[in-house]
Amino acid sequence: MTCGQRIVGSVAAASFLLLLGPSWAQEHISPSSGTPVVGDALVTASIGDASRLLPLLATDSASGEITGLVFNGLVKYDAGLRVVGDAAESWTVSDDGLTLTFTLRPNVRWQDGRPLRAQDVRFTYEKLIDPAVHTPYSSSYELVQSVEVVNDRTVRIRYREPFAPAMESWMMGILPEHLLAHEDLNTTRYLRDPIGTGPYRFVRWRTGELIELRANPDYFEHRPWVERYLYRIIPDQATLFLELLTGGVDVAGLTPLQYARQSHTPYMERTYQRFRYPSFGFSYVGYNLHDPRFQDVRVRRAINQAIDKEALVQGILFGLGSVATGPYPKESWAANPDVAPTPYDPQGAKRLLAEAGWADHDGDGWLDRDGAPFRFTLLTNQGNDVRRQTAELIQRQLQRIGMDVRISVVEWSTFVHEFIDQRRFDAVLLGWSLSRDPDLYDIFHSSKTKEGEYNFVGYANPQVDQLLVAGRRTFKQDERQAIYREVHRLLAEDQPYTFLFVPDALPVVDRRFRNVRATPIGISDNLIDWYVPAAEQRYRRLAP
Amino acid sequence: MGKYVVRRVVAMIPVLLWISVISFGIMHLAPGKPTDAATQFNPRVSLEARERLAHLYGLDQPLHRQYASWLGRIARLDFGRSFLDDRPVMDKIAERLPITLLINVLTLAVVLGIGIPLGVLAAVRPQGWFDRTTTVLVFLGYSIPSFWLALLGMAWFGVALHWLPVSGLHSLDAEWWSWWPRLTDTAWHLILPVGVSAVVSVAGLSRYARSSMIEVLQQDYIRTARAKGLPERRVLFHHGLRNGLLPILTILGLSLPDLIGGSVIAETIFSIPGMGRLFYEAVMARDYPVIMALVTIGAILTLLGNLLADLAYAWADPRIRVGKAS
Amino acid sequence: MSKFTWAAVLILAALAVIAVAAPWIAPYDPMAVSLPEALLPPSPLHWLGTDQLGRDVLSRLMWGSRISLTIGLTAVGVAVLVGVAVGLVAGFAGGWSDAVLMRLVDTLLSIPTIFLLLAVIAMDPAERITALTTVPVLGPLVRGLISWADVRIVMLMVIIGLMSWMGVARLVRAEVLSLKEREFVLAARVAGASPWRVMTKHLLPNAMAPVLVSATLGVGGAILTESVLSYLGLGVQPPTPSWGNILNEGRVALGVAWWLTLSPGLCIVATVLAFNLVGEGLRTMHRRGQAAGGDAL
Repeated sequence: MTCGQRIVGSVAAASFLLLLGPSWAQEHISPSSGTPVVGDALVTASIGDASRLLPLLATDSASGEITGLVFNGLVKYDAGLRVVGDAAESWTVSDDGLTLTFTLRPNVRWQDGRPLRAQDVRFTYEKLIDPAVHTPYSSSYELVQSVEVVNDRTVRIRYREPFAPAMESWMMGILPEHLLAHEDLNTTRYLRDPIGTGPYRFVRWRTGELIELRANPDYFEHRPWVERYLYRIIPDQATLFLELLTGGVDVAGLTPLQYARQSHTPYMERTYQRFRYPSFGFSYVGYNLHDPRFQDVRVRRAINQAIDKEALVQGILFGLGSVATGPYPKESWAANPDVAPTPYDPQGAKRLLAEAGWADHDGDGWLDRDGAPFRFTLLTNQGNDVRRQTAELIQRQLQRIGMDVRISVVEWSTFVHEFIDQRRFDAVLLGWSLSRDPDLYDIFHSSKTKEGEYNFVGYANPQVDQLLVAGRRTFKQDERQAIYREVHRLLAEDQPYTFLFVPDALPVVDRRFRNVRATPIGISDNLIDWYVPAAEQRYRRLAP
Repeated sequence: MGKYVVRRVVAMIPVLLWISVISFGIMHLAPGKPTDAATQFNPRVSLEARERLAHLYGLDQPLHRQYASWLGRIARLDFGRSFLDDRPVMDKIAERLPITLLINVLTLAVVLGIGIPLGVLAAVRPQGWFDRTTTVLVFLGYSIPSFWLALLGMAWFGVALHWLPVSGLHSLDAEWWSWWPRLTDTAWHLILPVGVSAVVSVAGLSRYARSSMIEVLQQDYIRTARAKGLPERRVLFHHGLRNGLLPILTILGLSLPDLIGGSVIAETIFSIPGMGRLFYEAVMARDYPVIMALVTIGAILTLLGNLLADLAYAWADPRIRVGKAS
Repeated sequence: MSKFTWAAVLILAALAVIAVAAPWIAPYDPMAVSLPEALLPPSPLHWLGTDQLGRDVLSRLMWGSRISLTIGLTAVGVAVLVGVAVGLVAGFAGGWSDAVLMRLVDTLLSIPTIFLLLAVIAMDPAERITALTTVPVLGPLVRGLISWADVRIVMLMVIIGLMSWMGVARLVRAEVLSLKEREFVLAARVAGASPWRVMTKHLLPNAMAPVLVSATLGVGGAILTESVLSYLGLGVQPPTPSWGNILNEGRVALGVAWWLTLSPGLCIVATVLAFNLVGEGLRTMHRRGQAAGGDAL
């Protein structure tokens, strides 16, 4: 979901975010000479199956990817991360920021032939806030006062207060009122047989194995050239790689290890075009700011200096990532270019710690203060090798300055309920995968510290609070930029998290596909322009 | 005999109830909630939205209430709907059960076909060269990490030789083929998964067969049979095996629930949507209805397996009278 | 004993020596990270290569053998102890005690152990195990184990053991059911032997054959179970090495670094094989002893 800001489960998860993920750098550009032709199939893979194919109920990335191709929102991000019209042709924001008016394109049709109408937008909103519908996304629409149909092609949305992240919430796929009005959305058959307005229409779903989509010939932009889109469920990364070696899949996200060590063979070079671009997410060490040791900003800054982030990027990501300085990757307009990465400086870290009273007074090699050694547990979740290795490296690096770090790896649900929610942790190693809107209210605002909320480190800085509120209340890009750059600077200074690195997404695509290119939002935003020259098409016989 | 079976079956009901209560309790004791999968660590999902979801699923009710409503539905053979995708639990199981059953039955056939003869032949001359060789081979198979064997098989037969498909259960378009190519296609895809799981499980069975045969072959009646001049094959497979089968029958009876269980690791590596992954994913997502359904079915099979093992025992060893066996 | 069995005993002895002597014979610190040396294939410097963080695989295996062997043995010990006791009593006593014990076994087999485990983590078991050190008889043993391994690892051993005794119990019960109708048992009972004596002197020795098989298989199984538990976040925590987690960690790099999985895999194979052969040898000896005793009568 574009409106999801979720944790990156693992590097493997990068593969399922691939089709939505941001992208710009690339090592190879497929030649786009020649005229596009219709035909062939694109076989892609996901580590998990989809669950519900209606956008407002799609909570896993597989469902998000499929619904992203079958449905359209009102707006979307373009390749330059700007908000542009999707099903909406244009829109206006009133001067007070309280009213959004969208005009729909005239030629958008549901895949059953009926035209898309403003009533569908209102219906989608009603379902989003319907307490009986099992959607988790209702909170993005709490500030909406009304959604009003002006005419078939115009819809007016009023807000109780200005809410800039709202634009992103209207990227939610629009539902067909004429099909769903009398259905129970939680159990309707359309959950497994969706009908949308998107470039691909749903064909079949063999649970746990495969989902197939076909090109929608009436798509309002143009008919996608690649006729079939096959989405295979391959849960194991090693299997996925073997499938690449036999041509069983055409698109796959690689792990850094596979990309660095296994993708340069003659076969791989000959068969696949490789892409590489920073994902919109970062790994971090978060401190329990209720712990008196970590309340001292000097301690947090010292740890920041004592972790060699470049070594993490080189050693664990094989250089396929970059050092993070704050919550925004340097490609984001919200990133503050003046915040430089903290140099690795263990001696400086020791000095800072000595100022804070931590030194090796008893000569046992560990830092201590008032007779207590500096010992803490770095908690992380199970099932993520990159994270485990990161923890192991950090442990060694902090050992060098005399901190005794224990590692604890815990199963995800237990991790959240027993440790994060109960605040039973010293420090955690985690990652956030961010949406394109820079709003960080839920993560760093001091009001969001209740059990189950996301400022679990307990960060409270009135200045940051104020900025986060202001950033939500204005739609003006330059004002927002100034605000979030300041937030970036303050976070880097306060170090509630030690920001570690931004991993790269590492997809490969079979060379027979042309027009594939990387943009800041991924390789597949122009999926409908991909094509395979007639002579190279592999899946020629079209199944019924 | 018939009465005995009926009595045993009736006696299962309280045990089943007891198992379901304990499982239900322990499941809820484990940290985490089913709504986590959809909502956890997504800042766009507020606390209120999560509580609302929990309410919709009835998770805010006291535990005994939740159990009672579960039990009420089960009594009407309704296993409820999955919290993950709101589909009936029975549909989800029905989708995966045939695949897993097929793989397990095939594996069992291969294991029996190889394991019992291996065990019997090894028992004829314990410590002989045949025994030694099979011992080493069989244990090699047992202790080799199965993911290793699986990936090796895929890399060798799938990638290097192109003899077999790498993963999955069907070719992409198999659905539209006629039945015969579809059947061979599935068979083709099953060779590696069945082969790998057979290699792993042949060890146990052949060892049990061997050790019980060794015991049996030393009994007086075997000596008598041999002294009477019966052909060795008849001695081995008629007199010997019938008695040597006892522990094997126990093992087989006890492994009845395994028939519907799949190996998570094998299913993950071979990209097969079987029961193992269904259960693992349900556990990780705390999808209570799916978990409870699988636990209940597993418990029923466990109890049935016991009964079958006891009956088979009585059949093979007349010294045991069923009436007294329990 | 045959040469075959001797070879197995030697392997086990060698493994035991390595486990005990790991601190002195391991060529490197098993946790020393060295990124420039990451993923090196076996060489004279690193006989078994290095892992992704540049740690020496041989040293990690040596240290890992301590934990893996202890886990395997202790877990199987617990399982056999509990399983034999329950099976013996159920089979011999029959009637209600049999029914109750066997239903307990059924229950435990039906409850997904994964939930037991998750529930256990939530209860902070390490503290409880530590509390055990004050128990009179058990205390010193638990203390010894903790100083050898780690609280968490001791907990693991007990948990794996308690997860796996049910099979043993059923096997023993089945054997006992068949044995107790045999002439020598009936004779002993007619002669007025106490139930305890009948159980320990007549039934137990004769019911041990399948138990030995399952125990020898179980050692390897327990070592593998540990690796699964590490995966769940309940096992040995990084960076402490065990064969199971070395194997697990090597899995993702299988296509790049075969040595990461091959060596722990071989260690497990060798251990399982050796235990089984020794078990086999013991059984043969036991049988000969019985036969000899019989002849003397």
